[in-house]
Amino acid sequence: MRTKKYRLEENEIPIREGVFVFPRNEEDSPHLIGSRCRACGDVVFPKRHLCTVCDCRERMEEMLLGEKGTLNTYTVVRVGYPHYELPYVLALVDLPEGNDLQVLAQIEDCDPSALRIGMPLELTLGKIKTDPRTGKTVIGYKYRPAGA
Amino acid sequence: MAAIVGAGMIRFGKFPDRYIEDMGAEACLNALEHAGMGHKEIQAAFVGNVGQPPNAGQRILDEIGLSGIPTFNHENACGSSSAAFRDAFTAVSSGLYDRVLVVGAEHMSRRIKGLIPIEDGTNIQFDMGLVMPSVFALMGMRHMAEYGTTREQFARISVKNHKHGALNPYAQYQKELTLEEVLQSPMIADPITLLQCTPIGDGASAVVLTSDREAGRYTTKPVYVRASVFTAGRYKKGTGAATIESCVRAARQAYETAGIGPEDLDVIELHDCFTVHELIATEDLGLCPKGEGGRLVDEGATALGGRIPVNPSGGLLSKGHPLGATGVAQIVELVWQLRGECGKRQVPGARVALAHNGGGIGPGLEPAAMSITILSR
Repeated sequence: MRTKKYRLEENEIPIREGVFVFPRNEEDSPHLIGSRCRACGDVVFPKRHLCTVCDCRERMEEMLLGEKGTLNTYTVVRVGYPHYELPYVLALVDLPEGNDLQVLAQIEDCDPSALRIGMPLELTLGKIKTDPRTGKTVIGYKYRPAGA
Repeated sequence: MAAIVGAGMIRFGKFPDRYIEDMGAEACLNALEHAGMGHKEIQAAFVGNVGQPPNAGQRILDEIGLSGIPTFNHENACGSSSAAFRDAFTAVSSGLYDRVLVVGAEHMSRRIKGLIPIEDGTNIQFDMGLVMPSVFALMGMRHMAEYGTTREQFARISVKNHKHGALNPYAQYQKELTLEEVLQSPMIADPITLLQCTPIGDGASAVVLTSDREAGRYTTKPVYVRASVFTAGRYKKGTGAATIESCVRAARQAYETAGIGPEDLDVIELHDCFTVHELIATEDLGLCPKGEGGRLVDEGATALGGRIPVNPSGGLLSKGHPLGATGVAQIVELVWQLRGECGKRQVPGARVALAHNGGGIGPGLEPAAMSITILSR
């Protein structure tokens, strides 16, 4: 049974404010916070003020997304900054909520040799790195193979 | 229109005892000497630099005895001096100035070892651990999956560019590499190995740009700027990870402005920060159909002596990549190529040349800045 993260612990900080929400209950999943255009309906992540596609002047509305995705491409990062646990898998994930909508994220819980482009993924929250200034664990969104 | 009448640079390398001011000054003196122009004839300067304290341009010019002229400092990551070149071109073409210096300069070796620090205070992708090699690794893995491109094909680009660099006295590394050496060097981010990554280095480059009507006063071999396109990466680019949309878009605009097509090019300097970037950009510039970049390098088309030599200077991989110096250094090489001054690495009879320079990353994996310049005799 995979563990689910509902809140930050004392030694943890979020990667940024306003990019993800924790699951509200056992049935819920974490979500990314994106925005949707009130005119053309286009969806972006992270949030934007104005639509990147159409020329409407209305401010975009907030939208939760990203629960499921598919693997567009990935790499195994073997040389990185010292406050990351190396190696880690970095991926571009296609999201179904919007046209040409992708998110870059680390892949958790996975042997890189089991990864296949096009495979289904699910959103999770976990450690991205150690914050070099405070020593705290930085929590952010990640993906992992769906349902495994 | 505008023309380049002089071009100079210093050898790229690691020079821990040098400073941006003295490197930049030496490049300026070389360019002025090449142009046969006195420093007091320069009316304005456009300077690209990424990492030094403010007003690098004024400090460089002061070293050569040139102060009190309008000096514009440009930052656009690895595309900084191409941005400077573009604004210089605009200023001269508009008639504002007749004689300007365009300079690129960067000192990295005292500040940076290995990866360029881009994590703090930039976009969230970098907070997630996106380091520069991984950007092109992600594109490379997708290219392999979509088109069957191989690790050897990427690696062969490094072999080619180091072979070229070995002929260039201005290159940071003047040593050939074998395919085995490239493939067996440490893996950085799959499929990119260490010897497929551009090195950290220091350097400077400069060109003298004049109006068309003034060019003849200084040289019988002016190099004309046929197109200078500078744009930015687009969110929602709609082309997938194995295509760089800003490159396709900028190249199309540049070809249209110059009234030529990719088949008319004789020589190219291309932003090979990582081998994957060169392979994808050769496709996106239209040198071959999409997906055939691997075959292009296998056939030797982009090597010296091939159909369309790419990076005769050695490119960023072998000549080196002091960030702010790179854009103008590409133009320096192409000016020398078009004037037939490149010695052993000369592309015989080159008449039309293209410089391709990217800068930074984002939105998504697109270069933040994209510059295409077309030059001709």
